[in-house]
Amino acid sequence: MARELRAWIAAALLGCLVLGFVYLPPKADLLFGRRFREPPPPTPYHLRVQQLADEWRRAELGRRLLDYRKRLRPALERRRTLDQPSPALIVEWPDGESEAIRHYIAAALDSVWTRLGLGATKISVGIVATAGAPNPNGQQPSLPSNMTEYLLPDSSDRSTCLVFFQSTYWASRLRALPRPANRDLGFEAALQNALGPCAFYAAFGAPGQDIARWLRSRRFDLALYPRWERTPTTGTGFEWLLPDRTQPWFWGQVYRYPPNAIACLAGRLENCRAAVLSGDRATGPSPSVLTTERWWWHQGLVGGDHYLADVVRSIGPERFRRFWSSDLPVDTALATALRMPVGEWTRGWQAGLVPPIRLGPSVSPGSVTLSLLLAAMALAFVLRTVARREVR
Amino acid sequence: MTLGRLAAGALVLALGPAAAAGQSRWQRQVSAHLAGATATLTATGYEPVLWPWTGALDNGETASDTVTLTGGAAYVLLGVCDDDCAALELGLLAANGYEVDAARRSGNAPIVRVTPRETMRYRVTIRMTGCGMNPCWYGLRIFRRPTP
Repeated sequence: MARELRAWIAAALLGCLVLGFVYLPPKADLLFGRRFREPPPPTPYHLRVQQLADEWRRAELGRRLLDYRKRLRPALERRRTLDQPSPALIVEWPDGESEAIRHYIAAALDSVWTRLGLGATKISVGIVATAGAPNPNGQQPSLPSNMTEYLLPDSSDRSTCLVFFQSTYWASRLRALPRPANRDLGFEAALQNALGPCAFYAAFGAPGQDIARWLRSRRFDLALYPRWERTPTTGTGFEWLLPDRTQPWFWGQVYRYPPNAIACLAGRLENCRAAVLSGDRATGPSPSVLTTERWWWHQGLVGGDHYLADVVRSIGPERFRRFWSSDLPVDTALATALRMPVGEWTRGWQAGLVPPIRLGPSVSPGSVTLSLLLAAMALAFVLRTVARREVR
Repeated sequence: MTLGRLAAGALVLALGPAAAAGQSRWQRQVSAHLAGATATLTATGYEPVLWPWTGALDNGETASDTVTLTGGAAYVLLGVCDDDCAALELGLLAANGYEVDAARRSGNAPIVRVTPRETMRYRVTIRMTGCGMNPCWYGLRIFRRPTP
């Protein structure tokens, strides 16, 4: 064997050994573990403590919401008697500015209510706006400082939907406003979004039984933002999905959605249908307290937070109300209201929000061009070598 | 007109404004429908037995309660609902669970007429079947024609 060939074989084997050492365990763990240090896994004790803390938070929130609903009852009854539009409001502000802030929020709420086309509604809405208070007792689990929670109408009070809106960001921004303050459109938009499912209840009443089960099982992810007055020029809120799709972060964002949502982004009809209708066969009781903490983790459809608001905008409030209070199964009721299959309408809606992506294995045009160029060069080199070959 | 009818009419008139206080527009609609039906029935010799039974139901939901009816007396059970409601059903069940009478597909003002043979407790059920915007408020009132 030629000496040169031996050297090549030895170099190849050495290369394999180095790669194996670097990438295969246990050496790889040592090498990468130092660079990408992972936190130690939680112990069973930690998991149990976290579970108990979550249960405590849920119970505490439920108790607080029931307490607020009780406090709001006289104001709500007065408004119902006088046919007063707009929600009843409680403002809890720690620093003696409550009254000024209350007036400001009430005025913003009036604007939002009018914009949504709501008057005196069958299901009244009560709002509790708080600046967020520190946890009074260090022994108890802390509650999030920013949250929007809902107490939906239940059998003990069918005509009240309660919104608990706590935001340290808006609290500090409202504090910084001059007095008397001008309208803050950003705050009004946040307040409108905070009305969430309660705005749907106010506008269209309580949903039919199947539709209520469907929405509650999905944590109302399709009805979180009541933006049915949105004009096409308002923007979709998904402009971040429009720029350069070759960036790694783009696919990172896309792949945090469930498979049906991703396939719907690619324009696949059946998956669009499945993404909308998932949870429509839910059974059993559903809680009337709705928490929106980290709601984006549970989104079943890209832009789904205003899916039903866009349905309202598309088919009109009267047809939507018939769908909303229908006793038919969800797929039938929605298809009847849309006057087309759910998947088809959703695919069009999704494409309007985010231009369809392309899924599956594919090669970029640049790579194809480069490969062809290299192949052509190789071919030209071979042809040239063959043409100049001399046989002795 | 008997003294009883006059008293019943006066009661309806007196209760009207009082009942409206603290009520929403839809509850007031139910009160108005009940007041109108009460006036009509009292004019034909019936008198209200109990206070109106009111509440709110979503489509497809049922509410029920028990009532003791006297044997031999003629009763009318009248249901009404708010203006968003197109259909309401009434049922009267004996203590053993058998349905004595019912009013179905009677629109938004179902009526059950019954003359029980014996005095006993009955279960009255009211089911919302045609509510256009949930929940719909309903009212139920029982009338009795006094035995001569």
